[in-house]
Amino acid sequence: MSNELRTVLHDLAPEPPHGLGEVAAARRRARALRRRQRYGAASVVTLSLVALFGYTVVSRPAPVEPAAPLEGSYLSWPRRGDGPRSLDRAAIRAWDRSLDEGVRRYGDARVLYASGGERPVVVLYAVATRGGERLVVVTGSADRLEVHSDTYAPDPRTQALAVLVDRPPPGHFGDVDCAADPLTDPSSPARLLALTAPGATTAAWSAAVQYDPECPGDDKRTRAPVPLPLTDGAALVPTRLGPRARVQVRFDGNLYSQYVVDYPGHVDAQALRIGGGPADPYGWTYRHDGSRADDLWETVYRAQEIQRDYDSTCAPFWYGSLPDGTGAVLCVTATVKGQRTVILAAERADRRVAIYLEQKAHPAPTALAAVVDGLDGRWLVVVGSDELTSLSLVDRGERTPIPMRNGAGFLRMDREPSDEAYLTNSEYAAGGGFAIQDRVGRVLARRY
Amino acid sequence: MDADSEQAFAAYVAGRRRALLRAAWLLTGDWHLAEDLVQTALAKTYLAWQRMDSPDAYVRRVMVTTYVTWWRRRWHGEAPTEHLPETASPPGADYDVRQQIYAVLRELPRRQRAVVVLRYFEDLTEAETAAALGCSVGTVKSQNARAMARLRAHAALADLAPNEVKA
Repeated sequence: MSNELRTVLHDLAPEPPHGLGEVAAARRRARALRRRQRYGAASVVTLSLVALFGYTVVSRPAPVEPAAPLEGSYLSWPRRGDGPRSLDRAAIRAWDRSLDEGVRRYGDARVLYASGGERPVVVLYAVATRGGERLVVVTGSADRLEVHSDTYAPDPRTQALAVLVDRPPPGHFGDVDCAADPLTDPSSPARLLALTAPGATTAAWSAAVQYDPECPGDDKRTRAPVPLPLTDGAALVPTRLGPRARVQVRFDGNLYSQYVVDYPGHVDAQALRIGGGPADPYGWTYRHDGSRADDLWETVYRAQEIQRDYDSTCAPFWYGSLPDGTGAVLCVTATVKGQRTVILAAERADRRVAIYLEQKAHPAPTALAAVVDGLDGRWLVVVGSDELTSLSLVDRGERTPIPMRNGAGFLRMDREPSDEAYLTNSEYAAGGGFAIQDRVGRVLARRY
Repeated sequence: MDADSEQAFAAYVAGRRRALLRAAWLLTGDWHLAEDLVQTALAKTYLAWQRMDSPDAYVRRVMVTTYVTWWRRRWHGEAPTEHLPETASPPGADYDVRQQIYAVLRELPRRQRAVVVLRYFEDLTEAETAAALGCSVGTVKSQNARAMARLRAHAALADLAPNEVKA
């Protein structure tokens, strides 16, 4: 077996692309490391003095002034692009129109980017009553603007926005043309919008196509990085990428501050294209709402490694963000005895995770639910199959609808659910069909 | 670093970059991360170049310990994928086997994956693997045994070596 494994590993490891592992890059990084080491001690002394000085200053009574925006906040980003100001108002109206009933934005939406012409592109930053901070991309024609993507706004210090526009919205790709080359598909013109803080000076995008179950034999191929002409941290360039291509954008090639954005279209599109995921026990579509929940996986993995005897990493198949911004992840792992276990975890204020569900992976439940202590309040979190579009919580004689989006829904819990609480799907229950409480009612009542 | 050392370092990188990158790719499954991992290891090696006896051992040690502890860094979260990225050869009879083994490899905990790569790709002994990981030989044995158990349980690899699997 050892020899076979050796052979497989050597066959498996591909030849590195040209340009990686250059000695000059190692030298540059080494110099940066040395500078950091050399000035580290001096920095500690300086910071201590600054802190002492700052404490002395702020301890004095001072006139009240509005707080300046945090560095790296979207609020500190200027409006970029050459679009007319009239476009801003039209884009904000388009976003307002797209909001579900009961959802509204807090305050003004901020325009981060606006490109005019026949095919305008506008990027908005706003805070919604449900969904928290949002980055909204609005596209269309000068006469008719529509929301292209509406995702949780990531931390601008660690992630950037990369979106393919001019193609059908994610989830509506239609039939896959296996004959078309996803990396140079002339029938799929699209523009790539990359947007980050205005201080970024260089960027490059690359693309890859991965094996697609609908196109067997199509193994991964990559396209060499192409420089992006950044202006104040923004770029909008034409591409010829098919819907199966995945795009990566790197800003400022300095590896210490790099971030890789991996959106074809946007994150939901990536989710839809990946499909069931590596160990999805239920056949649910892998979903990712672009929230900061993605970094929970490593934490969950480590937590369970320490605390329990699992024999594999916890493979996530749902990432999400609660309305108060709490990151959550649903993943599946296996014990040393091979028992597959589903875990629902959410972040805590101290950036550790709490596990709310940990149960045997029963075949194909309709939904999973748990009461989660979020960063701002308690929430009922329901994650179900993609087709799950409506749900209600029934408790103490009251029926409360739970808005579902992409198979997930959240409901603020002002009080503990009773033992009789259950979830139901009114559409089916009214017609005498199945009711979801048969499968998840007990889960709801039993908080881990 | 003096000119001779600079030259020696450049020659070392030129000779080892391919193997290091391939090993890093096996660990991370992503060229961007593999490059970052190798560059991190090489940068630290560069700084310690004039006082080390065995660059290979030093680079490996930095590489695997960095890899194992990368979970702390936000942007290194791995994206799950069920499919084999680039392949060295076109799909053939062994393609599915490799793909499936790759999937199992990706599901291994990081330390176990590092042990597998060091033992079976880098061909290190258990003692060398323990030195690279900064742990005991016993830990390497136990991690390796668990990883092998996962791989043995895999039907594709069982087909490759039925006798050993049964043993």
